[in-house]
Amino acid sequence: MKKIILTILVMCVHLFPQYHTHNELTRNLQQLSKKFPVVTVESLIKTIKGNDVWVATIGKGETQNRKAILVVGGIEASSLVGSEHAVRFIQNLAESYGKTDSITRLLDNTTVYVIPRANPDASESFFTKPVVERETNYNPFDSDGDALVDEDDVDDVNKDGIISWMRIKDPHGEWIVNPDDPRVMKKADAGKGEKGIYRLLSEGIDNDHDEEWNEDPAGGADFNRNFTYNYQFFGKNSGAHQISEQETKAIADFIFNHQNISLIFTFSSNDNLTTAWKNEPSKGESPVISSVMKEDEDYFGYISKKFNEISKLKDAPKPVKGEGSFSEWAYFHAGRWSFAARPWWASEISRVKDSTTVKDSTKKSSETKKEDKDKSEDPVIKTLKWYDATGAKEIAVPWSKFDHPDFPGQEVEIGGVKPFIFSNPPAESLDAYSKPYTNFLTFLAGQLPSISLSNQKVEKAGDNVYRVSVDVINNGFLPTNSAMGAKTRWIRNVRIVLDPSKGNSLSGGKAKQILEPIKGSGGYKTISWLVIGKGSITIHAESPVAGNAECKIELK
Amino acid sequence: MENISSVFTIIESKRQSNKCIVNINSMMRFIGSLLSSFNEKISICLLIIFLCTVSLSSAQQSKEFTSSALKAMGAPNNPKVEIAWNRYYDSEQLHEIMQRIEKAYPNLVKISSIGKSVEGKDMWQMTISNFKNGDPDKKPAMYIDGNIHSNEIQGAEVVLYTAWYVTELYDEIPWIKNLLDEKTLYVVPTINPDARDNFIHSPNNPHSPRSGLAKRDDDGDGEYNEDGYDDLDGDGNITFMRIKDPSGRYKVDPSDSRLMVQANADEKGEYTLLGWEGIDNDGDGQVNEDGPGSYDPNRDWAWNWAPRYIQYGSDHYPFTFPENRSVKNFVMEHSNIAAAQTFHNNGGMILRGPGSKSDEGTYSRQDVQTYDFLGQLGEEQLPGYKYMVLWRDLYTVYGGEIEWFYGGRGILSFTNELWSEFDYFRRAKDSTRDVSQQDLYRFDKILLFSEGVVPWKKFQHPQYGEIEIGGIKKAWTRTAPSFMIEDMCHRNMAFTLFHLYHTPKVSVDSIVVKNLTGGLKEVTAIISNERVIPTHTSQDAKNKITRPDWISLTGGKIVAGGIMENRFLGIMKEQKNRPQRLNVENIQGMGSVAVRWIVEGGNAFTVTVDSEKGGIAERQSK
Repeated sequence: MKKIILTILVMCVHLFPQYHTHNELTRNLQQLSKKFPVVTVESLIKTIKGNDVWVATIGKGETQNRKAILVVGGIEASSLVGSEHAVRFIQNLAESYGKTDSITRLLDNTTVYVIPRANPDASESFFTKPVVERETNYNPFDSDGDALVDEDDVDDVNKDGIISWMRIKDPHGEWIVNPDDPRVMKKADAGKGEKGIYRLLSEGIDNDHDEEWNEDPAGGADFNRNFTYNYQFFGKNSGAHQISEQETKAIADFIFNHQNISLIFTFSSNDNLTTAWKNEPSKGESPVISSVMKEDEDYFGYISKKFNEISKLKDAPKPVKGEGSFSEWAYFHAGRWSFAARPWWASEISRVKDSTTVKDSTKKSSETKKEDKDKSEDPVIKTLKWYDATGAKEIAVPWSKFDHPDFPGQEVEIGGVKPFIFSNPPAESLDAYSKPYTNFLTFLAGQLPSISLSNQKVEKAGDNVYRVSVDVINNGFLPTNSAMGAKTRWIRNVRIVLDPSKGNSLSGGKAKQILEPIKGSGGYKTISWLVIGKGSITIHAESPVAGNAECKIELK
Repeated sequence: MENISSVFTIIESKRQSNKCIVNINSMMRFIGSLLSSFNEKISICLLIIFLCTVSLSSAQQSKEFTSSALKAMGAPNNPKVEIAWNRYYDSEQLHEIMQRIEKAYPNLVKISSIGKSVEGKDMWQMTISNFKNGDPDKKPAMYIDGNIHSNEIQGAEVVLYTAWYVTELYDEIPWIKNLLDEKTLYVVPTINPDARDNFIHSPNNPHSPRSGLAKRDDDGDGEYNEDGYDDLDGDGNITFMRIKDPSGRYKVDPSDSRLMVQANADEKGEYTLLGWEGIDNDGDGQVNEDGPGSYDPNRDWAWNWAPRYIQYGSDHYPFTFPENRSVKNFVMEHSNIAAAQTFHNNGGMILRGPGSKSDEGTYSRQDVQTYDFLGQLGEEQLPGYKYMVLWRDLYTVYGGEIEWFYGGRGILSFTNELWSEFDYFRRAKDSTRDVSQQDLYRFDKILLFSEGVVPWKKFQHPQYGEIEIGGIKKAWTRTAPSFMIEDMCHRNMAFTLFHLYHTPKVSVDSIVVKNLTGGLKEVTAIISNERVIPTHTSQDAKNKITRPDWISLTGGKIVAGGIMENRFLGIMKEQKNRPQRLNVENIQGMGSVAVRWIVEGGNAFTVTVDSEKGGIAERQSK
């Protein structure tokens, strides 16, 4: 019965304001592809748990021969909200195609690929008991180097179906109860005269009796730590090596095999949209490019500005600098324009609160201070306040005493904020939070480079000798290649082929040539040839990322 | 499978017929002597027939024939598997030889495929050890491969020679026997079978292909491998093109007319050099710019990997290529591998990491000392070879194979660059790195009778017009000539066998039992590593790549136990958790650790040490 209702709802083009299990997400994608010919769904790889990592292609006909963007959700597996946004984005495009002119035009020229849930095995832990925030897949891995594999995972010690926290009274502990909110703990700051009184561990028992708790859980690698850029060998959850996982390999291979993808958007905390990447002079002798290239910086700046305008989201937490992250890899190693934003943070309510407080002009100076304080406020506390303001209940397990077998004679309490609370909003706000992203992504897909040929000139230099020239113009916003794309050589530059027709020959210029990147918004390159002969010649311009163009020139 | 058995049948029948030939030979000799008084013409005819049959049979000589010869030190006199070490075998021939060795020595050799190449060829691997003396996968082991760069062909022969030599001489040389009783060799003669066969069977120059054969768009025009070399003169070699050109800057070398040299600054040249044999196949104004493959499989490894804007030849990500991914999987599944060796050509080098200055910190002083010990031994065994640090003494490289072995797996590893400049004329040591083009041509002239160089000849090139083609053949200058292959194989093998010998070997040296009050006993054991390589290199121990060595006691109820921090002062660090199996982080090369237990009851105790890279040993208390 539930299935039928769900199906009907999907057919009626409305996703439940709920988080979808991977089976439900799969069904939704299949329904979308059934209903809308503009949507096709394929599996990139089957995971260890037998789930498919889906990629949806939105576009008609020869989608691989069109310039393209890719949207990726769930690369941080505990953040399910991005997956939900991604499916809504697919749905919005599918429904608008053929109805909304701008979207029809967009999809006739551009292919949109979406991988809504990159790590379904890990994301599924949102739905299964005991609920635990999991970032890694289930590829067996000996995390603590004791030759035992996955032998000490978390355990639902108090059998409440939730993996929360254990605090153990311990004079050598480093933790104290957070003075701003007793639901959470805080590391004692010796500089402020604070002294720790608790040890803090995730809920579990020392299954392998090595006096470490939960140090070798099931799996695996965190996909957002498994890519090559700034990869941390032997890092926590970073995998056996770069791209060690079949899923990350499948995703990377998909990108390398799709030369038409020049832009990637990722739902992740490695945000470069609320705050744009800045070029920084390179340090020391290292040949590694570790900040956005100077030539690309302004484009990132502009897109970031547009994100803030279109989404109207404010007060984002500080972006996280990645280690082996997907979105940074996409730019620095795969040579794509890469944009990332968190799919959600506790923003709305704080904004409302600020505006109400600002109203009180008499307290302006003190309020300004308060605003500053708000900005510097611990995002944990801020998020908890946000939940409280929405009236959300049961976001935390109350700390309560537990007789833990590993700590005889010590006071152990289990509790704390529940898993997923900090990274996923309540289901009922999914619709509201997806809109800014749908709008922005639609805008973003329209920024790709787009080439045409114009200003053809034929000049007679002598009998049967013609000087021919043509301008290759980029009418899109972005250049035909970023500096990084050109550097990595994974993005092909525009190629011009002159077909001199039968009997004609080329005396000056090359029959085939590859052009340097052409700037956007009308940037152009003039190409000229010296042709000996008569009749006509044909000129083709080809680019997997900026489209194709052709023109015929009469020699006269 | 059917193919394999039919190959065996052929080999067997060849042997049978050889025996017959030898018998016929002796008969011939007899008849010959009888007939010697007859017509001289007839006896010459008979002599010719006789000589022909002898030369036919020499490839597969019989036991009786060879056993009467004086055994030269080194190669076996009566090998079960007869292999001519004077040519280079393709991947199928390598596999056939491996099968013959396996068939001859089933208790010492097991062949398996570790994966498939890009073109679907099996990557054959041999496990070599005394299978009747413990599980080979639990003995300290060494991994050896060759030929990652397909044109650097002779690595496979060195690896295969090693497999052949140690199996053939297992019964004869106690040192070899002990080695295979205690340790294991995992060898993969070629880890690039596709391109090895391309090098052998397709027209190439000495440097092509370095790559594997996955298709790559080298010139970024959207087409793959559309403009490689062309064997214009059809001789199987890609040599050079030159064109007569009064404004050219090259001239014929006065010492050897086959060699081109730059004209002096104040002198007119006669030729322009047009590069390797080829045409502009795709009409883009460039010649030979997009040939087969074109990446570097030895920049495809995870440690200190860099993208191709930094490291030429690197590709999508570490282990892009299935050949390397298979090696990686094999190594990660065999935590008993404590040493590794790869073979390249050329230059006479014994190379170790790090590949870049930025990675110096990874190599601890202690591990460098072990490297130095082995490297210096190698310099002694391999005259003309120099022990070098990659980045410091050769060039900076990111993502190389041996750097992954050490950085990623904590395994001491070397690359040998086979065939050195020294080998040409074996001149005094100080000039070993100084061999000129003239020397190569000279060697060719006076030792190879000009076989190694294609003489210049005219060719009508579709784009350049009348040109000349000629120069060094693909099998010359980077690969040893036939008569020096066995020497190269043996010396390099000796180096790797000593490397294997020095992989850790743990033993329980002593157990001392002391009675304490209340019926308690104190059991102290000293555990040693009898070889130079530690059970855990610093990189291994630091990153917990392989588990700690386990030292356990049976024979009494254990009350407490731990590792002695100072056995002379009697200071012990207790291991509270599971004291019956103590975790020892490392046992240094030629070093020892002492452990102690407090035991209740028991009289006879057994102490066992179980080390992933150092083997298993035990001892009973007296």
